[in-house]
Amino acid sequence: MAANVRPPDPGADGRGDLPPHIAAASLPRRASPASERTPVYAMVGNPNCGKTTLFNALTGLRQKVGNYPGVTVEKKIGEAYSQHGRPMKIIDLPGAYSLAARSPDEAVTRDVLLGRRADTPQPDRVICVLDATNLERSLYFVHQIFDLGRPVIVVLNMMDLAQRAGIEIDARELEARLGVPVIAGEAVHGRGVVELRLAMSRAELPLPRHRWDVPAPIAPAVAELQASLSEGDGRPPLVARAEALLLLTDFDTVRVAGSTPLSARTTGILDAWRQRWAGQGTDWSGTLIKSRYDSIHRLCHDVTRRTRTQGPSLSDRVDAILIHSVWGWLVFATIMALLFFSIFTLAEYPMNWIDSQVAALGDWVKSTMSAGDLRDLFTDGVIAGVGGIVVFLPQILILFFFVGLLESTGYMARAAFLMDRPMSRVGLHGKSFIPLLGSYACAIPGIMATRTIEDAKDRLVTILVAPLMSCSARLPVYLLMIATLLPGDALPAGTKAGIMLLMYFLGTAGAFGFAWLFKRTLLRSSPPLMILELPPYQPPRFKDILRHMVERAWLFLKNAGTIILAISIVLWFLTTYPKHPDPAASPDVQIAHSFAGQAGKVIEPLIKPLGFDWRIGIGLITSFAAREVFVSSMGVIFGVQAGDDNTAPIRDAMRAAVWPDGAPLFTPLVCLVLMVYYVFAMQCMSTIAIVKRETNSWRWPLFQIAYMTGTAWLVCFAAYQAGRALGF
Amino acid sequence: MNADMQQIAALAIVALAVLGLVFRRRLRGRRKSCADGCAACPTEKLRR
Ligand SMILES: Nc1nc2c(ncn2[C@@H]2O[C@H](COP(=O)(O)OP(=O)(O)OP(=O)(O)O)[C@@H](O)[C@H]2O)c(=O)[nH]1
Ligand SMILES: [Mg+2]
Repeated sequence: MAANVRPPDPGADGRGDLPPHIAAASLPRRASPASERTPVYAMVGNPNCGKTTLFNALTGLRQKVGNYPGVTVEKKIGEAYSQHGRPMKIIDLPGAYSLAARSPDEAVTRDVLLGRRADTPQPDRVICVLDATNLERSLYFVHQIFDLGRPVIVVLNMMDLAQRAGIEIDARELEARLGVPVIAGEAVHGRGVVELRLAMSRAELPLPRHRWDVPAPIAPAVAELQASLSEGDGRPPLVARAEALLLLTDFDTVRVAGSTPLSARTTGILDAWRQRWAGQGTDWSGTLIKSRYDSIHRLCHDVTRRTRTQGPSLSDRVDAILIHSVWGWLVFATIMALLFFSIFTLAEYPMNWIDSQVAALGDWVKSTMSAGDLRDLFTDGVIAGVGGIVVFLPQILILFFFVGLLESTGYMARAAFLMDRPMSRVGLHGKSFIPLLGSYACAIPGIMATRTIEDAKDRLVTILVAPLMSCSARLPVYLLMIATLLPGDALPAGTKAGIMLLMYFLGTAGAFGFAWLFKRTLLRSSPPLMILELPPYQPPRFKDILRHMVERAWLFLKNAGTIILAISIVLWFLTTYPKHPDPAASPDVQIAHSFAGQAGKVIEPLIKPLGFDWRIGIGLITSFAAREVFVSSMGVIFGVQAGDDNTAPIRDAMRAAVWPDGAPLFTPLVCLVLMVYYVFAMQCMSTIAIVKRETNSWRWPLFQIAYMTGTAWLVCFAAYQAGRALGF
Repeated sequence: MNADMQQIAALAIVALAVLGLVFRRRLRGRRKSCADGCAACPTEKLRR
């Protein structure tokens, strides 16, 4: 173990303005390149230790933070400025437990650190974030980073939680032992950020001093592999050593090598050693891991002191209820019910207000402009289309508020834990539930989040079923149909929330059912073991949640103002032209004569068995872009059709819609069937694009479109025909 | 504005909308550093 030698001159690097404890560790044993090039820092550490919180504090960016492991799944480069105003690059990375990556998100971290990513500069310096409440485990990963031989700054984060748990860590002692700056901090409260920026501003940083002795039986293999890796595979010397150590720790070579294959020579050496040890009965992997942990354990023992022995923490006591096999489910159900109930009750006032503003705008345009195409374009195209969808902003924000609460308190991980039992019935583990739960907001981040799943087949199954979870884009469709289905305020919000809950349940059950099916047929693999960290509960970060809501609101409005606006305008054209030869023709006749009307008639036979007419069909087609476009399309179609004196909300126009024979179009049965269609159908371009990228082929997104839309049609067919037979 | 002028203006707007949809990708410009550009990505505005 390194001796605790303090450098004689704290200002050795000529920066006397540093806090003494940072300067104390400053004696450089190897000068790092203080060139003009922008220094690149990597932010690494275990999942959920606060890397992104620090990253945001340093760069001013607003990357997503949440209280569960696996929030960040892709690298993110940000820029910060040193104390002297010089730019520095910082890469925020997914959390990892080891450089031997078990899941795709950990592989991102490994590849960036080992300089394998062509699109990312190799970090010059590493900021290791440690969770002070879990020092020993945090240090294991950091220990591997030390092998890379790069200058390191250690941040001892979550000091507040450690203190509350009665753990005292001597940061100065740790600094002396590691030989690198150690900064105690609380990233959420901004503590330690200034010190970190100061440390990062230094032209020179020391290399880690803490070394460990590779166990004697393994050492020759490390040397031989290192030589082969640097000569045969072109790895830089220090990376070669780190990689050799990893190869000798993990049975699964792919976890270390990833997509950069090893040369035949290296593989030969590795196999020869492994065989030799197998013959001797040497547990090489275990020996290496143990010797690392021994070294860390001694270190931790020396720097940590427990000020009091602890009974069960508050989190443990709360968990006794929240992950209880009965109470846990009750709480879960209550939260969901509360969510839907507030979507109907709380959102009503802002929704009515927006509704009235949209209507007033329509009236104003009508009264100020003379009759003509341009006026119709504004009222029936733009205002009916965009206004029809903007009305649902409050509900979407409420949904995001709830999801934000779940994510920032730490309940997300508990929900996953609770779900582990039902999930294992279908062959997945609870970890898959985090992406699924995230898909209630939007399938895209949900699909990204599957990167934390270790088994490739399990991950694929989760990707395939994630879009079945009802996302926020379905919310406007459900709400419109429920409003059409249950006119007025005759029925209590509870009934509406109940129908909504049913749709969410249907989607979730569908996801489970298909996961079960896929695990049994296409993507068989052994049932996985669930290892999921339950983070301590934290008070919700309302500022973060509000900011996220503002971001989503902006995104929603931007979408409404661009894509939805353009689609509405084009749809207005398609429902207005070509004009009927008789200018006095009724709107019904005119719209049937239009391009959209003619196209609709072509597709009508396909959807008539589901109880849908061609107008709904047009909505189904346009909403391939995104589901909420259905709502704006209905606004345009029924706006055009209602003719000039219509300012009533779309739902009234829809309720009045009839088939040519005079039978009502939107019967309660049709409304329900239409909702069910949207539960199952794959109607989202962005999701398709993400699935293509994450699975690296067109095969799976195409399969997904086919199976989801096929299911939607079949289920709706069965439901509609059964409903009809029962007399609805 | 008379009906003919309105028709011309309306058709011009429709044409703009079509162009906007067709060249959506190019209008948005290529995104830097961010590999996805998806809805999950928070806005990248600097606070300072
Ligand atoms: N009490 C306390 N909480 C913190 C501190 N730093 C971060 N947190 C919280 O810890 C949680 C995780 O923070 P993140 O920044 O998302 O962690 P991360 O390391 O980026 O996590 P992954 O991206 O999943 O690897 C959030 O709820 C933060 O608010 C701290 O110093 N003290
Ligand atoms: Mg993170």
